[in-house]
Amino acid sequence: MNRTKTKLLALTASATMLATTFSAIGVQAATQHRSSQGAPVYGGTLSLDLSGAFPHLDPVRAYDTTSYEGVLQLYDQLVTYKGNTNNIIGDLASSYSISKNGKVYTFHLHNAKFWNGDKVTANSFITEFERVLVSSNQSPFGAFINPLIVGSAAFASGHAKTISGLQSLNGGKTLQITLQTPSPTFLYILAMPFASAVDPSYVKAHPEAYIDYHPMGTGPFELTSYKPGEQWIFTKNPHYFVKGIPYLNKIIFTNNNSPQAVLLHFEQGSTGLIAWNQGGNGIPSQDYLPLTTSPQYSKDLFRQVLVATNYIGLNTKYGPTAKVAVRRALEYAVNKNQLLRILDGRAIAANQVIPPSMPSGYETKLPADASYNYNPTLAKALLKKAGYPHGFTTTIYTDNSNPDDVRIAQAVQQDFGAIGVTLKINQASWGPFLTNNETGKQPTFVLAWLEDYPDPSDFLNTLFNSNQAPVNNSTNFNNPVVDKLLNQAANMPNTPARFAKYKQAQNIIMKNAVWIPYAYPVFTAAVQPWVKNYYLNPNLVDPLQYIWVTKH
Amino acid sequence: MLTYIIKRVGGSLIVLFGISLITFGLAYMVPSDPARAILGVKASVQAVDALRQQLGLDQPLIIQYFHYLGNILQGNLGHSYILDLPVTVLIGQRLGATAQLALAAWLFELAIGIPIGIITALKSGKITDHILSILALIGISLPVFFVGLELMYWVAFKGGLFPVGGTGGIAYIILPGLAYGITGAAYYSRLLKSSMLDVMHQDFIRTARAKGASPTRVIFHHAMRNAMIPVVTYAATDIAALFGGVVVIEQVFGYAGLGQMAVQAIGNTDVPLIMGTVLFAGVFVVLFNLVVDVLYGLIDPRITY
Amino acid sequence: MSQILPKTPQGLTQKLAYPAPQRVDAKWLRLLKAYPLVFVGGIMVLILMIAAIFAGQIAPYNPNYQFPNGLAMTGAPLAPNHHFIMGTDDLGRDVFSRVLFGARVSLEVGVFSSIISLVIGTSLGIISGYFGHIVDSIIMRVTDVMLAFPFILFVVALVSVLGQSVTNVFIAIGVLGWAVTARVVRSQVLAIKEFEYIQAARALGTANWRILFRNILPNIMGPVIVLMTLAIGNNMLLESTLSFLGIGVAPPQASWGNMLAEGQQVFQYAPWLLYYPGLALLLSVLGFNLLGDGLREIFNPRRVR
Repeated sequence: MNRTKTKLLALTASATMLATTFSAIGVQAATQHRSSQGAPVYGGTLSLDLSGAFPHLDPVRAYDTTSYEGVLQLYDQLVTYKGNTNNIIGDLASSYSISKNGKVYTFHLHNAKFWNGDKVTANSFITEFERVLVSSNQSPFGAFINPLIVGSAAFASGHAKTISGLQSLNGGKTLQITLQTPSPTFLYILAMPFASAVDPSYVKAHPEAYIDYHPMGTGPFELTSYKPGEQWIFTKNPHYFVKGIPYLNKIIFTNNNSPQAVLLHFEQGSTGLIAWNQGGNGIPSQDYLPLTTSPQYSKDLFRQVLVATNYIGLNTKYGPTAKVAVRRALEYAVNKNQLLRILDGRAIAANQVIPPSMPSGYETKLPADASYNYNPTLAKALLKKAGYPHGFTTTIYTDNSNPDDVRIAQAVQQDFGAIGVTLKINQASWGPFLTNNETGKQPTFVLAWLEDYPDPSDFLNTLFNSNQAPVNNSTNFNNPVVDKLLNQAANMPNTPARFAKYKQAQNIIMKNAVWIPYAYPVFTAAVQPWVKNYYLNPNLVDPLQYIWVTKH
Repeated sequence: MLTYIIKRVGGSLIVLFGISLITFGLAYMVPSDPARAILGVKASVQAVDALRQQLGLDQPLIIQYFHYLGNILQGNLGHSYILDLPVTVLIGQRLGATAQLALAAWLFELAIGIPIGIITALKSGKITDHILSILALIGISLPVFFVGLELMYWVAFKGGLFPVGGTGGIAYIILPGLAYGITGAAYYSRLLKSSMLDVMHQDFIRTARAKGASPTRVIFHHAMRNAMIPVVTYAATDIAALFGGVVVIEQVFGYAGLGQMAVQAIGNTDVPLIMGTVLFAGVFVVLFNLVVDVLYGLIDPRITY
Repeated sequence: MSQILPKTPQGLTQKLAYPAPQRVDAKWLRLLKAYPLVFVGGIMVLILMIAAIFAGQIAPYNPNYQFPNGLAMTGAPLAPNHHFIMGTDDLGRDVFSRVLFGARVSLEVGVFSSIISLVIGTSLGIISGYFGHIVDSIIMRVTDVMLAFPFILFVVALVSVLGQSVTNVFIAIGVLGWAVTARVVRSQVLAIKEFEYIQAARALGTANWRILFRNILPNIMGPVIVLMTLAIGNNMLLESTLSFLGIGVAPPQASWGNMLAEGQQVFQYAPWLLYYPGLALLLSVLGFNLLGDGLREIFNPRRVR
C-alpha cells in the first residue's frame, strides 16, 4: 500500500512480514521496557490525541492506520500476530489447518460473543466477506480476496447468491475457505482488519452508514460514546473471550491534529502515547526533535523500521527523464545522507526498491550497474553525455500535507540544481496530488510505498508492471523483460527460484533508474513511563488491549 | 417599514443566490475527481465512471448547478467523502462550539477595545493615548496564530491556568477568545476613539458642558451614547464575521469547531464539506445582517424609509 | 488639513517670532508634533522597503542555499552563532538572509494584493456611487456576496485550488478583498456627488469620465491612501495566516509567513525560527498601521485639534 496513495489518511498499516529482519532497535527498546514492567495493573483510563477523526470504524471500509487504531480494538479477526513478532497465531480461530494442496483452509472458532450477546459463528466471517465484495459498500479490499477465494468473482458480479468457497461446517463452529490457487500470503490477508467477525443479524438490521459509526464487534473494547469528529470513548468489554485482557477500563480518543498541542499534552502528562494515534510516522515530525532531545522523554521512545520505501519517482515516458541516461545521471546527484539528516535521522539510507525489513527480495549486494553512490561530478558528466550539457528544467510534485516530503523536495531541488537541472516544486494537498499522480504525467514526484503483503510482488508487481500504469505505476515504466519476470513469479510457489526472479526484476528496474529510493522510514513512538507493556508489532498498530497504566 | 423589510429580504435572496453560485464555481475548480476520491485508489476505472454517472458528474455544468441548488433548497448540503456523514449533520455537530468561541472572541474584543477607545479619546494627543494606541496596534499587527500559540504555551502550559487546547466548557474558550481580543481590539478602540472625538466637538456636548454637567456625566451620558452608534453597527457585523473567522484559532488550539473541520476538509479535498461550510457561513452572515438591519429599523426612530 | 503658516516678512521681527531654521519645515514640524506616530510608522515602513529592495546586497548568503554544515548531526537547526547570526532553519539555510529576502516577498504580497483590491474596489465604488440606480444595486449586491463569505476560508479554498505561489496568493487576497474598499469609496462618492460644483458640472453637460477623473477621484484619494496603507499591513498578516494553514507562499521561497509557520512548529527548541521573522513582521505591519491611522487623522476634515 502506498503511503501517500491510500492515505486519506496517513500511512496505512503494513499487512505482514515473514522473517524477523525488522528493526533491532524496536525489539531492544521493547524488551528493555518489558523487563521493568512490574505486575499488571487493572483499571484506569488512557487519553490519546487522535490525528483526525476515525475515517471508518466499519472493518469493510477501514484502510488507513487511524481507522485500524480503532477497528483492531473493536473487532477480532480469524488470526493475528503474536506479540512483536511476525508469527501468525489464532485470534477468533482456536486452531486451523491447511490442506496439502494449499487450497483449503479450515478454522475452528472460539466460543466468543458480540457485545450484544450474539454468538460468533462461521457466518460472522462469511457475512463480512460478502460485504467486502458487494460493490455498494465501496470496500477497498475486494482485490485481496477476489478472485482468490473460489466463487468470489461470481458473487461480486451478482451471478451467485453466495460465495461457494466459503462453507460453514460443524453447526457454524468451523469455517472452511477454498482458494482458486495456493497462496503463500493468505493468512496475512486474514490478519488484516477487514477480515473481522461481524454480527450478521446486526448487519442486516442496520444500514451501512450506521454501522460505520455504531460498530458491533467482539473486541476487547466497546465504543460507548462518541462526538463525531471530536471524541470517542472506548470502554472495556468485560466479556472479552481472551481471559485477562484488556487491562484498561477506558480509552478516550480526542481529535487533535495540532502538533504543538499534541506535544504539550504529552509533556503535561495528560496523554499516554504519541504513536499510531498520530499517524504513520508515529511522533509528528514537528514534535520529533523536542522529544528526542528531551532528557526526560528520549529514553521512552520506541522505534520500528517500516516495510516501506521513500522515493523520488522519475517518469519514464514524458519529459527529459524519459531518457534512461538522464535518469541514471540524476541517481548520482542525490545526497542521501543529507536527506536523512533532514528527516532528523528518522530513516535509514535506501539503495533499492525492496526495503531490508521485507523478508525476501532485499539484495545485500546490488550489481554495479544497478547501484549508485552520491557523485555530482559523475552526474554532471553523465548528463552531458545524455545530451544535456546545460541541464534542463522540470517539475517535482509533492503532497504538502506531509511537511517532510516538502522538505525533501527542496533538498532534491538543490541537489539537482548542482548538476544544472532546475527543479520547480509543485505542491498540492493530497487529493489533487493523487489525482494528478495517477495520470502518469508528473515528470518527477516525491512518494512512499508501504507494503500490503510481506511479499516482493507488492512492491515490484504493483509499482513496475506495465499493466499497472499509470495509476499505480505512475512512472509509466514499461519493460517486457520485467513484465515477464513479474508475471511468471506471481504464479510460482514460494521457493528461492521465485525470489530470484524478483531480484532479477529489481536489478533491471534499478539499472533503468526508475526510482531514486532514498530512505526506509522508521516509525517512532513516545510512551509515558507510566504506560506499561507497550510494544510495536511491525504489522499492527498500538497494542492498546495489552497496555496497563500505573500510578503517576 | 414593510416595504423596507421586503426590499431587504429580496436583496438578501439575491445575495444568497450569488453565494450558491460562487460556492459551486469554487468546487468545480478543484482539480480532483470526486468519484475517485470516494472510491479510493484501488477502484477500477469502470467503477469510477459508474459513480461519476450516479453522482451526475457527467452532466452539463448548468444542470449540475441546478441539481446542486435544488439540493440546497431541500436542506441537503451533500455528503462528506472523508467523514462519511451528511454535511448538515456535521455542521450541526460543530455549530455550538464555534458559536461559543465566536461569542467569547467578540466579548474579549469589546472588553479590551472599548476601554482603550474611551481612554485614548479622552487623553487624545497625550502620552497615554500614544502608549495605548501603540499597544492596541501591536495587537492587530500580530498574526492571531502567533498570539494564540504564545498564550497556549505560556499561560496554559507553563502557567497551568487553562487546558492546553481542546474542546470542552468555558475553560477551553478563554485563551482562544483572548487571542482574538488582543488581535482585534484595536478595530474597536480606533473606531470608538474617532467617533468620540467627533462627538465631543459637537454642539450638544458643549451645551451640556456649559450647563455645568460633570465631566463624567458628559462623557458617559451624553458623548458615549452617541459615539457608540458606529461601534454597535460594527459590532453587529463583526460577530457574524467572527463566526466564520475563528478558523485559524480553532486550528491552533485544536478546538473542534466548524473552522477546524473546514480546514481539515480543504486538506483532504473533501469538496462537499468545504462547499457546505463555506455556504453555511455565508448564509449565516447574510441572515444575521438581515435580522440586525430589520431590528435597527424597528428600534431606531431616526432611520426612515 | 493643517494650516500653512503665513510667510513672515524678513527683518526685525523675524528673530522674535519665527526662528529662521524652523520656518522652512514648519508645516512638517507641526504635523510631527501633532502626529508623531505617523513619522514613527513612516520610518518603519521605509526601513522595510530598504530591506526588501536591497536584500540582495545586504544578505550574507543565498537565502535558499541549504548549508551542509547548517544542521547539527541530529538534523536540528543551529542556534544563532557568529557564522549564521540569526541561526539556521530546519533545512540548514541562513535565517538572516531569509528574513531579508522574506521582506521582499511579504511586501510584494502586501502591496500587490492591496493594489488589486483597491483598483477593483475603487472602480466599483465610484461607478456604484456615481451612477446609482440599477448599477449601484447590482454592484452592492455583489459586494454583499463577497462580504458574506468567511474571508480566510474563502482565500484558503481559492489558493488551494489555484496552487501555491506568490502570485496566486496575492491574486486570491486581492480578488476577494475588494468589497470593503468598494463600500467606503461608494459612500465617499455619494457625499461628494452632492457638492455644488459637481452638480454644476453635471448640469453643464460635462462628460462623466471627466467629472470622475477631474473632480471625484482626487477627492477620494485621501481615504483610498489610508485604506491602501492599512490593507498592505493586513495582507502581510494574511499571507502569514495562509502559510500557517499550510497554503501560503510555496517553498523554497522565503516569506515571513512561511518562516513563522515553520518556526511555530519548533519554537520550543528553536525559538529563533519563530521570533526573528515574527519581530520583522510585527514591526512592519505596525509601521503600516501607525502610518495608516495617522494619515486617516490627518485627512479627516472634521478633526480639529
